[in-house]
Amino acid sequence: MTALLSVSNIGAGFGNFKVLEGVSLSLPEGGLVGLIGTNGAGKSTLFSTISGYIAPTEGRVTFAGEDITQLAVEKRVQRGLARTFQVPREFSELTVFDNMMAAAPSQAGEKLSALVFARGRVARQEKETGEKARQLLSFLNLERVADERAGRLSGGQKKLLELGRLLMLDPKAIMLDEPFAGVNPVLIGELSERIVALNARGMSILIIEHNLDELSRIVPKMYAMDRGRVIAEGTPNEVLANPGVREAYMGGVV
Amino acid sequence: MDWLSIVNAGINGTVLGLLLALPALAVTLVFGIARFPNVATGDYMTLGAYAAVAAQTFGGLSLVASGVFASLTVGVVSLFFYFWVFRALAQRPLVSRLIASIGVAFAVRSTITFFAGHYQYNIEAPLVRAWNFNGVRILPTDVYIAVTAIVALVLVFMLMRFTPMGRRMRAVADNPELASASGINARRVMVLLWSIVGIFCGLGGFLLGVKAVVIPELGFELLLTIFAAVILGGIGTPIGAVVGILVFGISQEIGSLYVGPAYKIVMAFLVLLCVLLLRPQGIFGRIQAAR
Amino acid sequence: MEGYIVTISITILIYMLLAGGLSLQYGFTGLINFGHVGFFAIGSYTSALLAMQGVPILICMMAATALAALFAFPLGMIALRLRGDYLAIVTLGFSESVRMVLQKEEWLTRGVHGIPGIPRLFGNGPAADLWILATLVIVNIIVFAGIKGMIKSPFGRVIGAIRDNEVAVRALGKDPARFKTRSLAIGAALAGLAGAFQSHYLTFISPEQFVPLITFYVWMAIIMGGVSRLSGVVVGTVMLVGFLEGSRFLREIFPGVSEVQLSSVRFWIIGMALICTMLYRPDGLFGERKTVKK
Repeated sequence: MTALLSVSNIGAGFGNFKVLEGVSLSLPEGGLVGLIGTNGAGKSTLFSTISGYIAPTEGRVTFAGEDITQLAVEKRVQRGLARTFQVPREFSELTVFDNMMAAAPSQAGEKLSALVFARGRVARQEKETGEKARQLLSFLNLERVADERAGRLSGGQKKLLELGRLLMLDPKAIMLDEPFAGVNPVLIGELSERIVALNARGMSILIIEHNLDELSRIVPKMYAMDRGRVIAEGTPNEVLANPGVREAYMGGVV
Repeated sequence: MDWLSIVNAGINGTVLGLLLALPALAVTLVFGIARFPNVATGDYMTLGAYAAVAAQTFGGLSLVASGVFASLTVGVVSLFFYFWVFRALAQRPLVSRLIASIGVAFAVRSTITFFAGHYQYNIEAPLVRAWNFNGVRILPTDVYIAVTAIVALVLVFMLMRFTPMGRRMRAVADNPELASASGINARRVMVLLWSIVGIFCGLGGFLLGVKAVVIPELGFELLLTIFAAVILGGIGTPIGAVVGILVFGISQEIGSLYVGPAYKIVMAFLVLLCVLLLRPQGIFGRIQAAR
Repeated sequence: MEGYIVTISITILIYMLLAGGLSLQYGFTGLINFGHVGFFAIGSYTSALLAMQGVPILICMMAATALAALFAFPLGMIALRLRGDYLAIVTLGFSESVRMVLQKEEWLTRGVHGIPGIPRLFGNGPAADLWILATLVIVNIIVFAGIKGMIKSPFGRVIGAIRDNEVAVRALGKDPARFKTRSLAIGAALAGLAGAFQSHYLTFISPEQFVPLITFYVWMAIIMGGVSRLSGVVVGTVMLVGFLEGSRFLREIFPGVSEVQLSSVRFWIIGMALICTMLYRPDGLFGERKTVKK
């Protein structure tokens, strides 16, 4: 399988302080890959570099054959690479349904000229987008709360909503930043199932997680980071047996 | 345009830059520590100038004494508005402090015009002839102004660098949450901040009044130049404020030789746009992280 | 007496266009525009100057609206990627620069002397004022209906999302600066339209009419009414004009007060009002972010 997303030799930091050094990683098309590491290992920084919030000081990010290292955040998303955040960033004042609707790309209704001159088309698109939104909400088991203010949801539901918003974009690849954090154990199982189901449909997924048990169950391949570098890669069993990883996680769940 | 005019304009610009460095520093400090652009800065300056005029006219004070009076008056006013307005708005969104500072600016200026009208006043300074070095003219008053400004700036820089209070101010500017978690008393820092702001704006207004005529728009018409200079230098960085305003002062005076003085605001505005387009963090500033 | 009511109503309706535009920019999109009077001035002078050249008034007004909106784009694209207070400074600088240019370029604008004899809308007959009033009422209704429509549209949804969580909007592939700039431009267009009406109603304009104080009159109007409620905009504008007109009568009550002192008092009251509303009545304005009340 060809790499859909590949990161080569990424370095990032402030002045002499290096947060990332020589990191290389790849996500194959249709792949489901995990990324683990202790706090401060640089996982989120790596995500931010890949998604475009932070500019790397060296190295390259390639997506679908294109070098996107210098591309703006919005443009990377438009190319099909989207991410969630560790702390969910739902639009708290909007309803769950509106959150989904707001995410849909290329809406004619967002152009003022269309609002005046192409009302019919705008209305039709709204209807189609609405149907897609309801389907996704149903897939994520969120239809019951569709008309609630998103700020009122539980942590787990907010994570599901973030995932839902992402899916409205029909992305090629998604990066999930600690999807299980702060989610109650019952929902974790549901969330896992959804992630696997999405992957089965062909979505390429990269996941950062601390919950090693759950992650090991669903991903066939994992990378481990420590202090800004990649120290292991392979199947979950291989990675978790790696001495360097065990040492980094000393006392942690292995 | 001969070199002599340019040199003289440059000297004038340096003096202006130095005295405007005082309110510029006030702006950058408030931005760094209280985290908003203080639009009342200009009118604090105006108040300083008028206070000095009043001191001379009604109190018969000497030039130096009126200058001190001006600085202290504005210091008190600044503290008043801190205690009444800005302290209460510290946790509110930025807009509140911005709009409140506009309100303060209006309140100060209108109080001045209510009593003093729209006439031009003058701060009486001894009339001394300019020194002439082969055509390069230097006014003794300008030298006094420059020296006063420099001394004030050096004092504040030393305060910020070497005293515990100064270090606390910088800590609050860098990272307010961490600072308060470390037990730094924000109230004391703020009192010091707004005292400096008031004294410097008052002093700057006084010095400007010595050099130019005293009118109600004295401070406000310089506001954009000061802000543009602070942004050019790097908002929140004291050295940036000084460098920025010197650059502006000198280039505006020299530029006025060619396009006339009326366009100072427009020039400042265009430079501001360029800075924000090309290097929004200014010369000495750091890039602000994405929210 | 009726003449006076008509005059006041026209003033209210012109300010309402200004307030509607600012409400869209700030109340709805969260943009801190301190240069609203600059767009007002551009609209006013553009319409006046074109009309003096014989261009039909309707075309002049359309050009005025468009030109004002056009100026919003460079300002927006430069300042809207940065913190909100940068826009405030940039727009303030913009409106003051506009005023300076209007004062200085006498060959075009007659500088401080102003432009007299601007062609009046509907001519100089006795009923002209009533026609102007009627037109303004209709225009205001259309404008406010349009703003409501915008708020409920997908465009409005994205703006609400931007106010809520701008980073998340970028993470969904949309550029917040583009949307904010469009909002800024519409508000500017409304200010330009208001300016055009001003020109063809007063028939005399000068740079003094376009000082920053006017911008903050409009801010006061939307703050008093509740920034994000359209009905509040109407209320606030009426209150503002009521205050401005009412303060004129102060001179009757206090004969010893000079004109200058009266304008100082007005100025002071606005300043105090801005401070006090920020301190004591921020509810529904700057506390929690609320969705726009429809």
